[in-house]
Amino acid sequence: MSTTPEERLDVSMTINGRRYRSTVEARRTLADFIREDAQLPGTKLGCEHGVCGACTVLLDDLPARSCLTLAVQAEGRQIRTVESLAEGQELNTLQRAFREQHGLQCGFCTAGFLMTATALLEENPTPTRDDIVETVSGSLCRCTGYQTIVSAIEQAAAEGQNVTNGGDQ
Amino acid sequence: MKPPKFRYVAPRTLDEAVEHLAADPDAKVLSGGQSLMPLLAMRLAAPSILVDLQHVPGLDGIEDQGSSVLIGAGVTHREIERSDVIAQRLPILSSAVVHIAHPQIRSRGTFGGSTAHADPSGEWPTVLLALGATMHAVGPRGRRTIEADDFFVGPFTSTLDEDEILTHVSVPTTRTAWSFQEAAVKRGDYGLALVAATGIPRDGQLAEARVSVGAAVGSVRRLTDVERLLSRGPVTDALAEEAALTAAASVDPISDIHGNSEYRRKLVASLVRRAVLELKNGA
Amino acid sequence: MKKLDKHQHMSTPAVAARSVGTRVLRSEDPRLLTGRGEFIADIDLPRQLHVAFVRSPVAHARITNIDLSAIRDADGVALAWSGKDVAAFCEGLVGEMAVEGCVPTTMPLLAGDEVLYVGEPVAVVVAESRYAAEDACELIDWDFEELPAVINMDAAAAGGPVANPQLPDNLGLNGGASFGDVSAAFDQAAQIVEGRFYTCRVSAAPMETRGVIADYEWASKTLRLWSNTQMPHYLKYMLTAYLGFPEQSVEVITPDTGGGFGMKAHVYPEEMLLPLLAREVGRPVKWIEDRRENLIAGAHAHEQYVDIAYALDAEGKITGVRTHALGDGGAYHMPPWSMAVEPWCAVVMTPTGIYDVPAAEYTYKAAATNKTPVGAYRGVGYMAGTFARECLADDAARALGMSPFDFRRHNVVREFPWTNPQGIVYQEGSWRQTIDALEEMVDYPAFLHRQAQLREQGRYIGLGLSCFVESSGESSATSLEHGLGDVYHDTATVRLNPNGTANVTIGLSAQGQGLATTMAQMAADTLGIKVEDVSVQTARSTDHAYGSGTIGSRGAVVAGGAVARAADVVREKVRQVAAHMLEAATDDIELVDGLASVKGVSDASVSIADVATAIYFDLDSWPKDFEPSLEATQAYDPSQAMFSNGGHAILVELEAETGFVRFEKIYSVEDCGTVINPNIVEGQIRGGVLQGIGASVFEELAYDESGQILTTTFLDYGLPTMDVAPPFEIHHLETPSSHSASGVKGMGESGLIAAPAAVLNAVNDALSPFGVVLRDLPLTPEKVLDAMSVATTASGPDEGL
Repeated sequence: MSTTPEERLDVSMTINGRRYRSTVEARRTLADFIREDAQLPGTKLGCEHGVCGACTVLLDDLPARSCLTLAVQAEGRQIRTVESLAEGQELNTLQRAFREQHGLQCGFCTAGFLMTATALLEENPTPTRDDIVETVSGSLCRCTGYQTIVSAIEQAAAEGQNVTNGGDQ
Repeated sequence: MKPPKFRYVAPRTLDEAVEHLAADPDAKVLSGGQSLMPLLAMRLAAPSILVDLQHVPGLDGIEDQGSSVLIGAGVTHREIERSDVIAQRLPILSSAVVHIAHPQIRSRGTFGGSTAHADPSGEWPTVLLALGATMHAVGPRGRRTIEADDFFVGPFTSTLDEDEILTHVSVPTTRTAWSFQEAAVKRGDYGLALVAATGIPRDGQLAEARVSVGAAVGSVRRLTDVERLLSRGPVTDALAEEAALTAAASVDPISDIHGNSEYRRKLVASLVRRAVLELKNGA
Repeated sequence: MKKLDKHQHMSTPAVAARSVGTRVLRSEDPRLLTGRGEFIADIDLPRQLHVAFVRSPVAHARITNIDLSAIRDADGVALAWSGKDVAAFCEGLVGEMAVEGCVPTTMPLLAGDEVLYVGEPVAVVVAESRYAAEDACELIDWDFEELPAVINMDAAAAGGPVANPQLPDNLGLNGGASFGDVSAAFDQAAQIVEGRFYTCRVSAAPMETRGVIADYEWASKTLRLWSNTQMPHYLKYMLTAYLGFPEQSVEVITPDTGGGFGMKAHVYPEEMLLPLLAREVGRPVKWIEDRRENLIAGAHAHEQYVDIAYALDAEGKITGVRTHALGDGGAYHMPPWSMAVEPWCAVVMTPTGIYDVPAAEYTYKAAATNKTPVGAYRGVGYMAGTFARECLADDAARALGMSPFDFRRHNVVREFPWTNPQGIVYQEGSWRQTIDALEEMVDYPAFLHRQAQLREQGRYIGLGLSCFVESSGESSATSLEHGLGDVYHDTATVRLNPNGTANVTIGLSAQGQGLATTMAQMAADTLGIKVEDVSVQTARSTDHAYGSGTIGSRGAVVAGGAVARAADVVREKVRQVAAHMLEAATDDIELVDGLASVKGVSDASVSIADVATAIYFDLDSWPKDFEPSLEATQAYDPSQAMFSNGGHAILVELEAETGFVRFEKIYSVEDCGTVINPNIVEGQIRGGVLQGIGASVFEELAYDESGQILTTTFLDYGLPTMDVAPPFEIHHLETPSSHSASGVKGMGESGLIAAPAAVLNAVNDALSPFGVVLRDLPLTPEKVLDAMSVATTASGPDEGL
């Protein structure tokens, strides 16, 4: 990367195991990079100021708001989005639990909850209810009243969420 | 809500970073970005250059130095939350860190970034003031240290110069009596009031008490009247009550849509009472 | 009252429930869980440009100069318009409702000479990217003279400075009516209880903001408009009526939608502007509202005062009710509805509730102010009215020394059909059973014991009750019953495929309610096939089935009725052919569990799949004169207004040091007739109640005295999060509707309608030792702590109350 300040920069990162390269404005958010440059629109933008959590992705396995990260900050990093979760053409344990517990209605916030919960379960496969509440409290949902999201994560934990990337750090 | 145009650079050395900051008065440091990015999205900030510190070596690490712990500015809130050194040597930080936003923010936001941001409702400014921490900064005129008492001077204002970078914070571990209290409507919300209190237990009393308040006031500050009170004798229930009254009398809280001045005054009193009672139990 | 003529499309077939009533998992979910939903922001058209708006930074001002030349010269800008540029195409959108005393307003697409609220669109910019469009917006050069900002609705209604020159006396609405001998009831009352209740200004704040994409092809005059609207067909009509696009060439496309809650049940200036911009620049244009715009310029909700009084006789029976609502309508009527949706709905729809009140009188006013227009939000009008009524019920119970359960039971309607003083007929309901069920669920004696014990420890818990009856399945009949003449009906198309599976298309767009699943259940049971064999398309395009909008808890009832009627036509075809194949009479054929069987003859059956195959491919199986289309489109509109009912009991604790209201548990009873899918019904309850909790405690759109809105981000406008969201216990009662398909009644709004009253009642119950009664939302920590400070002396609060 350049040692002089630039308004446009080359950036490359790995998203869901695939390498993406582009030349972007310095100000471009990681969320816009994922949605538009990488054409992975499953990550949603609900507020663009870091509160709603719909845009949460895993950045080097940790949950991060992609609206509060610049694409250029993710240079060389590993990103995972909701598109990475299904196992082949089947829902994974967590996704299935969300369906069975009715943990989503409109589905707009869902990717953020799934990615946050994925990070939680990878780090701690047997979270307490309070651990789950803490995690779920970091995102907004306007449809479900949240309880069924917590139940879904509890169910996934009980069934053994598949750890796909070796866990934390 | 898209950020305005700016230039970006990710220097590989601290000197290089300082050069960029010194070369342009509108250049800004980008650390975790968790406070800066919303300001950019709302176009409330318009830096010419963002100097990203993520590749600058030497800003990481939590080092136990005996009578203090040296914390790198680039250490994330999450790393503090999970650090054994912090848990054992500076449990007040472990207690405060869980109040900072949410796990998804704590994974990116940095200790140094939040400290330098000097947000009056910030947990770190409040805690560091109560601990009497020392800030380590580097700039074009070299390195210097700034005591917490001299660092936080106003809302979102520190004595760090525009071209200086906060590199480390040295946090004393001698203040083994401590309490951190925060009143927030919802988990992760900005607090309506924060209180941090520390002291050194000595002969059944509390020596060198420091009490700070955040969020309820325009900028983080110490409650010196309360500190004086605490040095008078053994910490008792009655003293806690008196400390609460003293705190209420000595703060001039802000009013906004989340709570008026009188309400925040009551909160500060309650939090000071709780904090002193906790000191009593810990002392 | 005018009676509705009975039409064919008001009858529905009787259907055996197989899938209906079961917890079928949603067919929508696999797409939504894997990031494969397609929301409006996810749609990109080739060559598209991006739109951003310059919005007024002041509440009320005369624009003296506006110069867009710097914007037009900016990098990547294709077009910029101010109000002058757009007025030639459209003067604005008229908002009014056909109720007494409604004075219409016309809302310009971009402000003309005056801006009337912070956030009003002043100019629009079309550019290569959203980033570039926002850059250009900053270059606006304009001057304005500030005018007095009218902020307070009481002051506005009393006259004085004018908020909107189209409403010179600041009233967008003013009327009233009286039914029964109300004066006598109040003159002879043993006791009168009354109160003024305030529901604060809030935002529906769906997680997905609004969005519009327009693509105009001049050669064929074809307009395609993507909008996450709740009313695609109405929007299409408006595009023709206001802008002149040829109706036959206009298609409104509604992608997956991230919640609507009424905010998206309007027609907005942005939806009218985008087609004009697309036509002007000759390229597709896309606008995705950002969150700040959504909080500032998406329809606001709720703000009003409701004054309500009960006349009580010596036995504690309510003998009359007087209600007056004053709404803060904002700067314009919100098209296509009006300011009437809050105060008019509140007083017309709600004052009697579940109570046997013989006389009612109401007045309503809506004041224009220099704030964002107020529109619909889940249970519009019902929330404020129910809030006032149910909180007054608790006041009455306190005044009479009765428990809130006993007071309600003492006054509840017991015999159906019941006609309220306005002549509105309630066919059936489980109103008394709701009270009994809630009392049992909360174990009231045990609660009282625990409350007393905790008070001794300085802890304050409270239980609040709220019962509701809500009109559902919004229909022509409902409209007429409430004195309006709006016509509603929806169609559905059902097609049986050669292998016995079905495709269903409905005219309603979905915002997360699971309509694709519930409608599959309705179709499957009517056709006698498995629910997995039915694929439902909601109104993704106005080229298919017609619908009057996903509003007023009408989806399950109205789309369900249309689906059942259309499926019934197809079912008759299958029965005819099956009868021919089985050499039996058509009337003896029943379709259940994938088989067409002869009633009472155990081995005489053929699979529905085989019958369908035969209809497509085997002429020999056809009876004489058979017409083989296995596709039918039918309309439905309920013949009578229908009402769901239920209630909530909410358990709270007040934190004595902070004034925070903490929610321990929600008990909900819902009777929406036959439940199609309990998962979905329970989901609607939980989500609606949490919105009610938000509107009661956490949320308020705040303005300062200059009319500046102070809550423009989710940092300041605080939606409830999981840590403050309580667990639920939900109990279903089922009193089927006598006239809808399968006895279904609508639901979905009752959580928000009734929860706020239960919250306030619970807080007031917890506050009872302090002798304070709160009546204004939101119940901020500051207000609660103030209330708890009233009697906190050294000896503690007065325990005698």
